[in-house]
Amino acid sequence: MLKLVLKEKLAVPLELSVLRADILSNCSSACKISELPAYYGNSNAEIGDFFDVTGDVDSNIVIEGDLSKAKRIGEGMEYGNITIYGNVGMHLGEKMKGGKIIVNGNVSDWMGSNMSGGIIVVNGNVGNFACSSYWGEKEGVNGGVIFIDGSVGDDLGRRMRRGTIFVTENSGDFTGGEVIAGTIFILGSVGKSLGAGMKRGSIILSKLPELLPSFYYSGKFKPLFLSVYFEYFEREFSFKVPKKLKKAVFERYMGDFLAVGKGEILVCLT
Amino acid sequence: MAALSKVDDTFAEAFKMYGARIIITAINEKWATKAANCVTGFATSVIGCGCEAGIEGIAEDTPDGRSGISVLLFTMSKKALSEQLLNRIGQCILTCPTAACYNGLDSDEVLEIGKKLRYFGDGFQMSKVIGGKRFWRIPIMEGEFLMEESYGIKEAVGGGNILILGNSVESVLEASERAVSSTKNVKDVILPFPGGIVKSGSKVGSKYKFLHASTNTSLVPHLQAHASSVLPSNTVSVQELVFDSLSLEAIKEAMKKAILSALEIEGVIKITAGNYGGNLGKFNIYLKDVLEVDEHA
Repeated sequence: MLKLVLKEKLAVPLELSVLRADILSNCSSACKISELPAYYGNSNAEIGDFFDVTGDVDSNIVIEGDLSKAKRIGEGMEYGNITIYGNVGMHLGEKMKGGKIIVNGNVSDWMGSNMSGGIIVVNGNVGNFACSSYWGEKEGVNGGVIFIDGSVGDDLGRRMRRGTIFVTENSGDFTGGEVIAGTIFILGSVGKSLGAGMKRGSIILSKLPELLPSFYYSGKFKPLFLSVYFEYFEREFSFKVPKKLKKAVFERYMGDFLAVGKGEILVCLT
Repeated sequence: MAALSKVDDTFAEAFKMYGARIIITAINEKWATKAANCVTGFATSVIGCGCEAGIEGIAEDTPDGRSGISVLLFTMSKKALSEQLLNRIGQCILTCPTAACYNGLDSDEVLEIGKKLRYFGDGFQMSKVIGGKRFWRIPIMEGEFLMEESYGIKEAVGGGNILILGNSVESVLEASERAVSSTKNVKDVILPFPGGIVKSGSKVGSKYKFLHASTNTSLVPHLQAHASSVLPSNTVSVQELVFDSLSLEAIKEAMKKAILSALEIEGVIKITAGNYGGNLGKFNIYLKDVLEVDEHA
């Protein structure tokens, strides 16, 4: 296991797109890792300028410190594991293809945007535009699993095409906006304009929010696929899914009929 | 052990087949079992049923956390396996109250049965990828039928067998039942015939040109005057156990357990095996070798 400990609090943003488990595991030594480039504000720097690097080089990385100004950790990562103790800045796991990132702290905006595989687990809150597409892009998240044991800000999962997002608490406005497909769970409350423009895909809620008028009630049923999801979450993330969700009948609302209208919002009835 | 002298020095001739394992879940074990019984119904022999299938046992840790039954299916070709899975899942599991169907065999080679059956949803079907596996949600009157898209298949062994010869119908049946019971905990193996036992073993061909298989005259106790019988003269009844398995090792283990259990019954005269001189099947499973197999279950 390789360990990186932040030496001192960052004054300006630090770009750390080389902090990927797959890149670090291919370095010959901790010394070489210290020489990898980073960008501190408007100047060039090296990883060793900011971190004490210790341990054996492999694909399991532990990072410690207040990284709320550190951007792009795990960007484009293809395999390996990163565990972070502390808050993390923007673009965590952006365009990630594989591997796993676990954050024990809060994460800033654009987390997991445009990712296509892998797993991000956050034991804390997440900012805006999590798992969202960039402005102007047709598709956002195209695979992978994001598990957030906390709340998220606005624009969660915009234009998501594949993948799963699970939020144990609340999400902000425009959750699941223009979703093409994929699955979003919100166990707490959601903000305004839920699923606006969604074409297909599923949003699963524990209580009925104010829905857009372009979503129509479509009946009640017991969706078995949720049981498979819940078993997966409990197995993979050791998350105890509330019993009421496991046994519930769900109301189904179809929409957004201003788009394709094949999306579904499932609301737990208890 | 004196009883081992009753084991004939011969071999069972087994064939290469293709196998799949499906996990059937339902609201409770009763309904999972009903679906499993339906899937494995009329699946004793590929000769007339299209496939050989049986219940392997209770499935633990099912994908949806409900009660589950593990079922094995075997055919002579991948194409036949695809057809049988499609038909049997479609007719027996899709229709069975609360039942769902999942893959139970990890393999690089898969049959995408769910991709075909999804069309039952008439355009309202939806898929979900959970834990790297794709599932199809098919809307039905009950609510929703859930099935996995891909089912792993692998080369398997079919037609392993033992023949139990005895001096009464009762003793041979008791020995056969005990032999079948002894294999319950052997993973990867099923015995596809009724209760795991077949009373009408066949030989290849017939005096009738239109028939591919007919009664195994050399093993019929009361045809000793007419046919080239291989039976000891005091034989009154013969039963056969047929084994299909995902592996040769498992089939040997099951055969060993079955032989040893059958030998415990008084009245068993001999235990032998069916073969075609080694000319047809890929696997020759010698009973003497089987008895030396280490048991795992």
